Amino acid sequence: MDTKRLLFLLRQPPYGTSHALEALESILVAGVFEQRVSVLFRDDGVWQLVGGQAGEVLGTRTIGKVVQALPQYEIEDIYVCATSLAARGIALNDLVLPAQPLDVGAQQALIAGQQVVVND
Amino acid sequence: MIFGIAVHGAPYGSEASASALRFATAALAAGHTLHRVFFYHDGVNLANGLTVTPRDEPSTQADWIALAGAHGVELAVCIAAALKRGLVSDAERERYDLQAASLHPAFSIVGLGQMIDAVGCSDRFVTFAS
Amino acid sequence: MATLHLVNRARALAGCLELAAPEDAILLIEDGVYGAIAAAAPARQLYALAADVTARGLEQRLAHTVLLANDADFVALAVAHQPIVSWR
Repeated sequence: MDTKRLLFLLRQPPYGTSHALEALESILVAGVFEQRVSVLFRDDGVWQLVGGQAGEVLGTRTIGKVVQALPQYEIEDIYVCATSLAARGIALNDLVLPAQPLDVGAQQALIAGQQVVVND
Repeated sequence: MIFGIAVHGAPYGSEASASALRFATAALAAGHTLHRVFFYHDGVNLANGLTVTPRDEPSTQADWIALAGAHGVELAVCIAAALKRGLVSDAERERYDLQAASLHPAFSIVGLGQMIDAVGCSDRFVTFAS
Repeated sequence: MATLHLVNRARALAGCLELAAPEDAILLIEDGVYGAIAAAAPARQLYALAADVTARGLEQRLAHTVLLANDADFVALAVAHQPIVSWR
C-alpha cells in the first residue's frame, strides 16, 4: 500500500444521519494506516465542529468529541470553509479544536493537491 | 490503471450501486483493473443475502456478483457498518448469538482498513455517494 | 492534473460549482443530470452521463453547454483527472 495524499471532505451535519460518525471513524483508521490525511469541513459539515454538543441527550455519541480525538490519531491537517462558518454565524473560537479557515481559492488548491478525496 | 471503488448508497434507496456497477463494467472493458469494491454506509445493504428481487426487475446484487466472479474482484463490506445494519455472516451470527445470518457469501466482511488499503493500492479511487 | 467532480443530485451542483476550479471537469450522474437541463444549467461546460439522461427522457432538454458522456467516457474522465470528488 502506497502512502497517498487523502482528503476527507465532510459536508453532512451530525446526528440526523450516520454519515458524520461513520466518516469520522474512517478518518481515524486512515490515521492509523499512516496515510497523509487532511480533513475539510464545509457546508453543513461545519456543524460537526461546534462546541456544546450533547449527544447523550439522544443516547448517541457526541460527534464533537470524536472530532476532538482526531489529533490523537495523528490527524492534524484540519481545515474549515470560512464562508460556511460565516453563513452559519459560527466563530473560530466556537470550534471544538483548532481548524484552519480556508477561502474558496485555498480549498481549490487543497483539493488539487490530493490524490484521493473521500466524501461523507 | 488500478481503480478502487467505494459504494455508499443502498440498493433501492439510491442509484449508487447500479452506477458503480456500470462504471466498473466499463473500466474492466477498457482494460483497467479493480483492486477492491468497498461497501460502506448504507451501501453495505447490497450484501444482504435475504433479498428477493421480482423476476421482471434487474438485480444489481446478482450483476455485481457475476462481475466479481468473472474478474476476481473482491466485494468488501465494512464489518462495523454491516453489523449495525443487520448484515451478519455465519461467524457473526454465532458470535453474537443472533437468530439468523444474512450476509450473501459472495461478499467478504472486512475492517475499515481495507478501504484505506484500497485507497493506497489504487491509481484512482471513485466514491459513489448516496 | 485537474479534478473530476461527480454530482449525483441537482441540489448538490451549486456547492460543487462554488469549489470547482475553472479547469476541473464536472460530470452529472444519476439525479444530478436534472442540473443539466436548459432552464437550470450554469454557463459552464458540464458532462452528463448518457444512460441517466436517456432514462429520464432529458435528451432534448439539455443545455447546449452540456456534453453527453457514455460509460466509457466516464472511465476516461476518471483516468484523466485526479482527484475524483463526489457531491451529494
